[in-house]
Amino acid sequence: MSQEITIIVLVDIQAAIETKSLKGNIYLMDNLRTDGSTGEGTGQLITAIDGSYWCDGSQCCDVVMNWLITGIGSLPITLPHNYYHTRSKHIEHEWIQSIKNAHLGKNTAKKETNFDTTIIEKIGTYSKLRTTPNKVMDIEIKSLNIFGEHFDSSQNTKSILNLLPPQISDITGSAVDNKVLFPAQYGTPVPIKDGWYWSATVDTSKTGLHNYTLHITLYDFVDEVWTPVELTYDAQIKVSNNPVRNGFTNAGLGLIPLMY
Amino acid sequence: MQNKININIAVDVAKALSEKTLLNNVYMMDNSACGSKNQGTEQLCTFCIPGQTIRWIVYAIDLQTPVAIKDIAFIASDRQIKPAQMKENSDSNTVLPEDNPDLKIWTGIVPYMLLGHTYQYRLTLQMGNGFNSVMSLNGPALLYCGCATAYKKQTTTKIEQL
Repeated sequence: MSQEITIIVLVDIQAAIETKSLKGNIYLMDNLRTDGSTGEGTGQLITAIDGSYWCDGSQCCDVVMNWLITGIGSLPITLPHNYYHTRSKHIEHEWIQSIKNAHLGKNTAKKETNFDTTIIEKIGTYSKLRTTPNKVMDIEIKSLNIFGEHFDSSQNTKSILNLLPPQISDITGSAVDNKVLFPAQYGTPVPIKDGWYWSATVDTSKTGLHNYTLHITLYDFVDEVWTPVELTYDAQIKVSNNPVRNGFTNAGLGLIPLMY
Repeated sequence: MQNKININIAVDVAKALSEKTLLNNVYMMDNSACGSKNQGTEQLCTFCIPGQTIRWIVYAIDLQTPVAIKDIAFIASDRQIKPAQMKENSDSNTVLPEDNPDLKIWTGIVPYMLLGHTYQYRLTLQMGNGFNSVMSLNGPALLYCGCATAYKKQTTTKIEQL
């Protein structure tokens, strides 16, 4: 019996944003190499899906697929939901503490500079997200670098900026239109992807090679504003439909081969 | 009398692969009407009578890790076997698609057995492919036990536990 299929989608976010394409910047892998998946770790993954039927012809195996998307070089997706928020709070707390220390004379070196005013300007300011071409909103987190520290665009190079994790926004394509793949977004208590992930069930009676399209949203950091970049990528599933056999007899039901 | 017995095998695949053993990482349970010993361990002894159908079903505790039954082999009774012995198969990374263990159903009818005799079997599981992906376990068994005897044994163990 087939187990749940998980497809890990790795995106080279920076390269994909620069070339405005996921081609060559996406790597897919699943847990079904033993069942015949090909192109593991490349952009040309074909996921092998074992449909199977009983000797009376009825379907005996339904398959569940999950997609987990993450950016290469991003903070790991296994961090808790509220990591970005707690880090932002922690950074503010540190700033406030350093101002206090400066005023108490503990840090005389910084008292001389305009340290206080620049920090005070930053306290309470958050990253912004462009929701429509003309609308920008606060997202209550600060821009972090890949070490989880505050990212200051005036001091740091953009290469160490932690880009916001990519998101799957939809799954469409001929496999969905032909009612082979039934995708939906689900909530999970597992600390991944903010508690949301895309999953699908497969009608394993429809055998053959089927195409589906992943709609992926990346976030580019343009003028201190996170701007969504919508891209698509085509992937494939190969559904086979084989008869199940009895492990002992390689055919139908028989006696258990005891050793006397 | 229920004519079907399910033996459910739950496997902690991640732990088994990292520890390279099935020992303490396999949990076997059955629903035999005749009773059983060592429920929830890899030493499960299922009481059954000839004519019943037994089905072995394997589950990975983590849904996303693959596991399948590769083989269930009964061991000759005169052979001395250490319980829960681990056997490694170094040739395990050559798996042909037609050998796909996912497409096998492990079920069979209990043949004539000696009363009170234990029939041990070796359970071989396949977890993905690569090194140590195929591991075996000697320990679980079938036992032909008249139902009255099984019931009596169960009650005596319960009294002993009290």
